Amino acid sequence: MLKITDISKSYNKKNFALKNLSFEMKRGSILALLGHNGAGKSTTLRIIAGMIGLNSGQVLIDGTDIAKAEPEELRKIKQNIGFISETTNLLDYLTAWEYIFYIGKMYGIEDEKLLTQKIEKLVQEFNIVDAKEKIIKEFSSGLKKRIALASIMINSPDLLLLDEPTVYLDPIGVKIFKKYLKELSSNGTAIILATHQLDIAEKLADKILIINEGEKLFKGTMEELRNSFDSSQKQDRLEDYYAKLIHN
Amino acid sequence: MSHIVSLLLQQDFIKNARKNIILKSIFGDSISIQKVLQINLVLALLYFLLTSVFPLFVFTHFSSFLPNVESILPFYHFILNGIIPLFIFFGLFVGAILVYNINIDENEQLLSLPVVIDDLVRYRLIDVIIANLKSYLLFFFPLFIWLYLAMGWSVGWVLLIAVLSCLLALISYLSGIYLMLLVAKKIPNLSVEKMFINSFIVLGLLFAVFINLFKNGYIVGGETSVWTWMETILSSSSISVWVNSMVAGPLGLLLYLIVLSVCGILISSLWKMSNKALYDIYYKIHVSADKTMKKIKRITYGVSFEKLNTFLHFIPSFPRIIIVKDILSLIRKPNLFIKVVIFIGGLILLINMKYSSVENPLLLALYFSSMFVISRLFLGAVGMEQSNILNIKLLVPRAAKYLSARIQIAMFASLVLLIPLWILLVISSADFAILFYFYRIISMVLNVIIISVFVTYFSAAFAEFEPGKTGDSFTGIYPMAMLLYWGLSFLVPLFFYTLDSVIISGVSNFISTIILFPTGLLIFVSIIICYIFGVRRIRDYF
Repeated sequence: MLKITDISKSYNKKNFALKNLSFEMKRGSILALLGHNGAGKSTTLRIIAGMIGLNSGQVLIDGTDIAKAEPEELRKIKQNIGFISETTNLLDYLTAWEYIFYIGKMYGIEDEKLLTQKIEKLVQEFNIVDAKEKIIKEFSSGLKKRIALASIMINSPDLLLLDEPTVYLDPIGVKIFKKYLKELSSNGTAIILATHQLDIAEKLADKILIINEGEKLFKGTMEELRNSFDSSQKQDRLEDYYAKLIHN
Repeated sequence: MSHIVSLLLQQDFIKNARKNIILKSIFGDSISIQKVLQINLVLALLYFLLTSVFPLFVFTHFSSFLPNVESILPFYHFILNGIIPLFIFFGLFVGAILVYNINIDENEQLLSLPVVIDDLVRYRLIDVIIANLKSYLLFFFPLFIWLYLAMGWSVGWVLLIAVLSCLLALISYLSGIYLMLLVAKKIPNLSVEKMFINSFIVLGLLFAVFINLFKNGYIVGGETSVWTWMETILSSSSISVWVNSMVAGPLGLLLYLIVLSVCGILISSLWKMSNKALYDIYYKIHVSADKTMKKIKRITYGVSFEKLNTFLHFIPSFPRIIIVKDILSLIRKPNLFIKVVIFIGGLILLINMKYSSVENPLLLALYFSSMFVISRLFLGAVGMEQSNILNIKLLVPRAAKYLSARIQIAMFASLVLLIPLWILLVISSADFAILFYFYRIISMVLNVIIISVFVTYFSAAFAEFEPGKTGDSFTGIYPMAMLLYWGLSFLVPLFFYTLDSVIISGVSNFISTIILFPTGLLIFVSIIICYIFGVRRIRDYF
């Protein structure tokens, strides 16, 4: 599904945000992308989403190099990718319903009847029925996040890129979100989850990728992470291993 | 046009409608696309009825009232010969925005959707073309109709020429964009400012070259009258005699070119040198301005709601409360109060400035360049420096403080940059009517400052004042304000030139006054509306 090979990215001549990062993902898998602020998590997601270019390396989505794809081909690839950024920048002059409708159209759903049905289902599931006819600008950050999440679910993407998706969400919102991710994953969607909330990462992710200053520190399952430490250092929670890795 | 591009344009359309203060206040926040379309259609029809169909009707039925054609001719030439360079210039500017001043945040947001770079570029390009066509149809098209009718052309010819002019404007505009994109490919690190200083110098040089070619008889034919008119203007003052003698022969021309090039280099070097000094002074002024403001605030807080309410007891209670609130908000925000005073004073001065620089091309050139430099000072306050570091809510009040300090800096900079040039010109012209020239210096400096203040308000009015998490949404101000600034710097002199023409040709020429009045009125009304919205938007975030 996704193959990243030696990608590097620098925003200026001196510092690299990413240095030769490589990893692969299969359909239906969930990868937790961890690292402290400025480690390169968002940059990685933005490169995969085709929002920014890279200095070197290759991003293959279903075998197509996104840097070399023709516009039409790239548009089709992007229609199968859902991206949610850390800061929820929605088109805040639209109503919640209009926004999801607009995103649905962007994702190539031409049948308006089908689109309307999907939206009605999503607004129920993400608990945004009361807000659907109101302008997004007036909403709380949590509600905006729910709308953003609902909007990218409209097309059931093959690849979902989530940058701090649970920030601003209340406990009910987090619960709905986790349930949805599980469902999507079981339906074959590959999910990359960049987060600081390690408990969510631990519960949801099949594999963990920890990066620091743009470089890979660890990639593997929770079990492999545990086994990479001596028995004297073994802990229960991902949080403790993460702290140890970063500290080292 | 791809499906994605049309979707992007649609959302742009609804965004503009829903952010429109007037529409919002009448129809509420969630006005539908259909309603926006209907309103736009009705407004456009009304506008065209008033500005285009009405004059067509009047002139067809009352042709005996045709004005004195000669009094309009210079204005006509100015418009006709101005339209191509003006639109090329707009195109160059828009091209520069497309290349150098891309709003990365907004574009990234779009790129996170199934939008590819190709769509984004097309969308931006179509967007600017639509904006340009809109400005043409709303302003230049009716203007052309008035002018051609005033010259006694038949309705059919007027319509034909108006449509042709529209096409011409569009072609010029696209050529400008294309030219800038071509240049930009070769010079990737050039800033918009540098590009404009350079193009200004190049335009100045071209002007000198053409005047010289005309004086030596190389330009003949249909456009000769334009050059004759320009020559007449050049000869109209003693300063221009000096310019005339410079551009009269090949040596003079060479000298003129050298002087202009040296001036170009000097201005940019001087700007760099003075920048640091200006900032040092600025901080000192800022501190003292801040202290003064605090003092004023302390005094104004002495005026309480109760006192004012009692004082205005003769007004019925409901409007009285609103008036008291407004008065208090005005006097307790001295920055705003000062700006309102400057604005009103500025308007009075502008009206009084019919003998200012606008009649003379050399002075006009100085006027443009100095406005450019000074406006940079103002725009710096809002657009550039703090946009990356400050929260928007903090930024706006701070920008208001900056503004008051920057007015003083702008005055200082104007004096530093312009007075030596003026003294040089006065001496060179061997004209000792010093008082008259001082009047011109002062009026020009004031003009520059007033326009710069306008620009700041325009930028506030048109910028997206969204209380976002970072100041990034502010980055869109600068190019937009610059475009407006350049638009204004053409329109304001044009208006005063028009006013002069009317006064010179005599008030008795009733029809010509009718023709010229709506144009000026339109400009002034739009300035005032933008000003009010600008103030309101700034005030909302105080």
